[in-house]
Amino acid sequence: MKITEEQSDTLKELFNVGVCAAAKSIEELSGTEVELTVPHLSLISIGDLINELIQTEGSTLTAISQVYSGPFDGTALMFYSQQSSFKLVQIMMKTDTAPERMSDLETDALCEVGNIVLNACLSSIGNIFETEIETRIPTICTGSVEEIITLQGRTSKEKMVIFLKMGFTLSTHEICSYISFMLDTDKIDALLKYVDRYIEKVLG
Amino acid sequence: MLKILTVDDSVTARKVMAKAIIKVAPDYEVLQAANGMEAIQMAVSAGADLVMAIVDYNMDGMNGEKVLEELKKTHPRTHMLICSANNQHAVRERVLKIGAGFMEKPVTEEKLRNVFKQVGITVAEVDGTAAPVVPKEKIAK
Repeated sequence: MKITEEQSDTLKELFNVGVCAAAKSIEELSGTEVELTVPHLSLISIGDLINELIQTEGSTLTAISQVYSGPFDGTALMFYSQQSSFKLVQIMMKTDTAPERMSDLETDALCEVGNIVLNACLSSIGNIFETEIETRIPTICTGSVEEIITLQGRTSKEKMVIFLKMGFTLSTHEICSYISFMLDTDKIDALLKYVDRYIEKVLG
Repeated sequence: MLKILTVDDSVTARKVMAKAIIKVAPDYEVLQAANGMEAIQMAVSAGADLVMAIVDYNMDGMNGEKVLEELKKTHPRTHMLICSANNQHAVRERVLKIGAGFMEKPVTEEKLRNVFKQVGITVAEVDGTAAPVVPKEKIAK
């Protein structure tokens, strides 16, 4: 498995376009500007990714995951620290419910935020590739980093994935989150064909 | 030769932009910088020949807004444009406040042509023939 510098750079740029579309959705929902980091891309095993995330994010996360399929398959994840997820729901729902009293409705709201954000991102990438990326219903889970990244143990720790990550912060509300895409390496050739086709189209 | 500077930390994005500029405004030389520091150095070297700077917003180190603020100090008459996928209202407002324009990514020749026409940069006709060059001093601010 190898990704050229040009493919990596292009993937990051396309991911950036997708996440920026998502940021605009969040700005409209929350009324607050979203500050973004530059995108990072790594080809990494699930096991190493878990260790990396534990070091940077702590052991527990809340994540919204959305399986997507089409010319290339994978799982898009939007994850927060638990505290950030509660704050985000409070802003969206205009409520000050204490985290421990978060209702199903509020949990559903968080899931809907993920749905909007991840779809904004995926559809924007699909548009650039001139193809359709289908998404399934998003699911929300809170648990250990390992549970979330292995999709509740469904993915082996040895499996290699492309991990694209971009951080965003709602500065006025102290919310830090990440939008990430895990791309199964089984399907990576299909994705890279689209990337190469895009490079050929815009630069050829 | 009059110059247009494009600043982006993505090589792909820079190449896409440079290719589009060459197609739309073939009478201008395209300068490419990968970050703010490079951009400032190139702008200083270009001097008064720099007619426009097109800068990405989301970059490590100096972001696009800071790059434009620095370029404004040395090139107050040069047209400034942020080109970014980050088209949040707050970002657009800040960009306008510092006297720059905003163009949303992905870049297309049509978008670039419209921007260039607005600021008086000579654009090629659609068949590829360049229209007469407008003297620099006549380019609208």
